[in-house]
Amino acid sequence: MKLFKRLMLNISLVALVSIILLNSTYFLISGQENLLSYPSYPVSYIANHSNEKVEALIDGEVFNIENEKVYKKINNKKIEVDFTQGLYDKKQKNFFFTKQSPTSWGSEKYLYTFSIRKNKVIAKVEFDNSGYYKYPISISPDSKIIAIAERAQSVGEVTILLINLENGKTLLKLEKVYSPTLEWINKNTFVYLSPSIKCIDQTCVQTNIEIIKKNLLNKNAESKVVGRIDSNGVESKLDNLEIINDEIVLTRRLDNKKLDKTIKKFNIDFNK
Amino acid sequence: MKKLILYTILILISLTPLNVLAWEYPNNDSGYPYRDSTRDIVDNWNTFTRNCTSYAVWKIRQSLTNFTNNPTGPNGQTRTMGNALNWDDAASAIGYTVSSTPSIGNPVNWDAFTGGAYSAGHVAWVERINNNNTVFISEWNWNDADGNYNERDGITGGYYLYIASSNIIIQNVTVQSGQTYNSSVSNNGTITVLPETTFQTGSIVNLSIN
Repeated sequence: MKLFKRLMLNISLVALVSIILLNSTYFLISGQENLLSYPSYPVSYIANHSNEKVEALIDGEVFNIENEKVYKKINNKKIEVDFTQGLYDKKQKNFFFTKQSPTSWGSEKYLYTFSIRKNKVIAKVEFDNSGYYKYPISISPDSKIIAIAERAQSVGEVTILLINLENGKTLLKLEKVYSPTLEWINKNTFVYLSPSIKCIDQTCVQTNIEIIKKNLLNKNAESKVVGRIDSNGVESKLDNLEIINDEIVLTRRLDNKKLDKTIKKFNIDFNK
Repeated sequence: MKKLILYTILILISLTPLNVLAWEYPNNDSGYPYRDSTRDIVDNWNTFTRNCTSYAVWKIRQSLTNFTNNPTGPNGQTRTMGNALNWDDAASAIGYTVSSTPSIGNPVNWDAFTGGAYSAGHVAWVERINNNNTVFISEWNWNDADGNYNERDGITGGYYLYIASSNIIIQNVTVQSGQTYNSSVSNNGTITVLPETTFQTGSIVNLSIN
């Protein structure tokens, strides 16, 4: 009987350890699958359902989000951030985020800057929060201008604001943008995607996807057609821009699950 | 003996599949493929994942498999559906009927700031028409734009877009050549033909909407 009891005790202990390990692995694996899916997105916001545990990838590090609070462990210290989506500035080690308004479909009026170094919110600037929820997507190389995208329902309906981080003032408003992506070539020049639009009797049709290169100071713009929008083509689903080794790389976020990041490449010099 | 029972319970718990222990979100969305996707990524039909438009296009594609955000309609024209508030204009421009009369298995859209919609409008799917002519709808991204599935009943207003083909199954029917029948469609989708007739299986019945 003693031997049987000892055997049962051992099995139970193994079972208990298995439960703990399996449960933690379950969440870790399910989260990391998602995280690996979007390696190029500034922040992967994995919110399956409201009030569920979610995770975010910020510069390669996992943040755990519970009840819209973000926790990150640095040197075993738990840092709390409150956000719905955000952007990490690698150079300054700052994390930018907005909050969804609890009373509307839009954002609250502040853009917050959370310093990872100082472990606190170091700035909040009032910005144009009209319309749908807006969230930061890209920051200029000198960390002075932040691009904020407004949530849209279909491609070609995205609005992107370029905002002065010091005072929240809107420097430029880009409307009818293809998807919420914008990348900086230098501190004054950036690229984004735009559909070619042809309108007939107040209804419109999108035809091509163009990369627009724009200079913020002189407002000069160049464009290059990079894909056709058609019913079944892959090109129309390319929605993410990156600058890698002085090349513009156009990818599809959904396909990043396959880690296929080299769908289309273009020279930054549009004349080449 | 108590210990033995305790051990047995522990072993049973350890053998319970994890998906039984894990909390599951109610799945009434009939298999919408982006329900667990990150939000606001371009989907396979050029709308953004987990938005109302993405769900409505997906529902249309159950019968019109080529339908996307840039559809070509019955009149051969192509338009971009865009945000939900554009849907009635775009559908009309490419030859679909837009009506204030509800249609089961079709989208219904609202302009900005009407029917509770926000600045981009809203589109949902008509699942049922009630006897009082209100409708029961399914939709995504309604409650404070939470990016989730939702259902509502007793809905009125909006533009009803006759885009998706309905699956009408008529069994045991015959058609007398050249004879015209008076027909009516009830709110629940039942087609009544007068005078009462017996049809033969396999016959082709031409239905026209006047």
